[in-house]
Amino acid sequence: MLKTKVNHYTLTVILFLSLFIILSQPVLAFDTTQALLYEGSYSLNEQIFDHTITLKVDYVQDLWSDVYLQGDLIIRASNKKYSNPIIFFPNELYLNAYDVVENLDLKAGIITTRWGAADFFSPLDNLNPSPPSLSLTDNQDKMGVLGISATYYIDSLTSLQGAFYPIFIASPYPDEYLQDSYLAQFSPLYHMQGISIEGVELSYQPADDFVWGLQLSHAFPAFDVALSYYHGYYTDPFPANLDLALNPSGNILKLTLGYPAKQVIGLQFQGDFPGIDGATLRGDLAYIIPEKWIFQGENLLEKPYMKAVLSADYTTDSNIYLNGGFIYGLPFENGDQCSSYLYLHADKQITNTDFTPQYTFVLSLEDMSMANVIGLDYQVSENILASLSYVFVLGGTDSKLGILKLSEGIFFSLEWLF
Amino acid sequence: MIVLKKFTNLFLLSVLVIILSISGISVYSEQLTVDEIIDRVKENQVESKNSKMQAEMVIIDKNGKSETREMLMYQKEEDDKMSILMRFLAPKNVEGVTLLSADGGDKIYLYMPAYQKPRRIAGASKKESFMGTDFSYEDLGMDYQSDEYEKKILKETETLYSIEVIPTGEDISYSKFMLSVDKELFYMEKVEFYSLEGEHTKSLAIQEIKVDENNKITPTKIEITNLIDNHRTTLNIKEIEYDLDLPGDFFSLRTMQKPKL
Repeated sequence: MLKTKVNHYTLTVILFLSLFIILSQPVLAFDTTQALLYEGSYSLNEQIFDHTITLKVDYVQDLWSDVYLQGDLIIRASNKKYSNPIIFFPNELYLNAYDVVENLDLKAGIITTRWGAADFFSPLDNLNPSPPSLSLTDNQDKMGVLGISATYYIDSLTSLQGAFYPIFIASPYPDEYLQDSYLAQFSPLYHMQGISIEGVELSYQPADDFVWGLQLSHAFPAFDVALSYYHGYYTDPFPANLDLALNPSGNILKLTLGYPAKQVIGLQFQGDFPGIDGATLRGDLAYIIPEKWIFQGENLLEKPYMKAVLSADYTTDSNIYLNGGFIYGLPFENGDQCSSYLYLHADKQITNTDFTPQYTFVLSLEDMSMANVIGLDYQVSENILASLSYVFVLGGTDSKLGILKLSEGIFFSLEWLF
Repeated sequence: MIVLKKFTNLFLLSVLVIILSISGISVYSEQLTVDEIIDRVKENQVESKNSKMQAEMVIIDKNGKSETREMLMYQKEEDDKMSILMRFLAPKNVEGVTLLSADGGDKIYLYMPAYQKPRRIAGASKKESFMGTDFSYEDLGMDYQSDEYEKKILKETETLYSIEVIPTGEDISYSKFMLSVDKELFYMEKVEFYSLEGEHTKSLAIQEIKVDENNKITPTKIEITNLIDNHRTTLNIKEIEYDLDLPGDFFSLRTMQKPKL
């Protein structure tokens, strides 16, 4: 009952804010685009329905010649297990200035800087953290971070971009989620020693340095190539220290989490696929140098390692869009955990209809576990899109893609742009 | 990705429609020879180093279902290579999506605001239909008025010259073009495209024009019909400017990411 009341309240707030934004648009003199998105899902494992409503407002305002105020505001209400009932935040808010000095462009504020040529799982896209969820079918969302980005155009084909973020921001995993995850991980180990664990208490080691990166890009006739260097941190938390607090009222694990430093030397390219007219080849290669990270005597990170995505996309004569390739190291894999995968996305709009069926899979070449997404998009009207998809994983929970079994279920979304 | 593909197709279709319309597919009028007709048509075309156009495009499928897009397009021709920068302004689901085609279509990029970075798209061979559209890059770069092409007047009515153009000396995908030239104003009213098999596959019709004070002609309403798919695209040009003072690097990745063009 309480949850229903909260949902009604948050829905009312969102609708009120939507109306406010629409009505105040002429007064604010912004150019805005709004998207109202409903997402519903049914988890096959937990057998529960989740509902999320998001209002996203993109805005641009001319301040003066070639200087803009830009951003996007997100208001979200959700009944998901680890989600806040309502959140309201500017995902981006920045000044965007062109030709600050000749051929130099600047962005400053809460910004997003995206690197990498691959459409999925780029190991070079490190500057901004991602939300905790992982998208198998689309470009992963990123969260804005306070910083500055400068791009100097050496000539019309060559540019040098630098980004500097004074404060490191990690992916926002809810404490409750981490506590449940670590409790599930460590509780059986202590139970074997006859100790029952009642809960996990978290603390964090702050990252003590800023994040920065440089990227040099050049457009060759058949290919665009970029070399990049990133100096920052893993945005997912790693366990750093674990203590057991014995209490008469219940034993508590005191877990300290930290964010290991890392450097990434990257090469990305995109361009014509040799020998196949109309196909585009994209590649991201990352050489990752981690901070040595030891937890309970085990080296979680030690030696430099590689991650890579090599993909191609092509539209056939019968208008089937194909995007597939090879992945070495998914976003949740690090160091020695990295392994090889194949992925493919295919879709095709059915002739003379507004229906687009699609299929995506990721296949582990190590243990042949497989994540699958079967979906159908329906363009209800020019600005309304409905999507239905079914996600399932072939393989056990301890397989390479077993972590995605938590996402098994049926997903529905309805997006209205206005 | 679906959206990306659809945008790419729409963009390329739009670009081709516009290029075919304003770059002068012209040719051609009294007891004139075919070359004299073509010279008169060329004289009536606006010559400019670049142009900026705001237009509305209506795409109509064989069931009569239509989609309307508003767009802004810049183009220039340098060293016989066309560069195009085009952005959709409406409706909301395509707003801000921008296409850059540089070096005569050798480099093509698509920028979608939600994607947050330009995405390079491979150039196809000149003859191939690109990304499922009914047009090829060849259509973009083709000079229908080339002196090397064989031309002859097939028919003359009170209002039109019908001219057959046989492309020669080049490896192109059409066996002929049929041009209809207005005898009074000397502009091309219609172009019919014939495949190598001799099949009439598509038509371009200039339905409305604007004549400026120097008697230069700008098409303001164009319709392209794909006779294979029974698919039509109408382009209504709302505003066109010529010879703008654009920076040297205007047709670039840098410009395509700007929030306002």
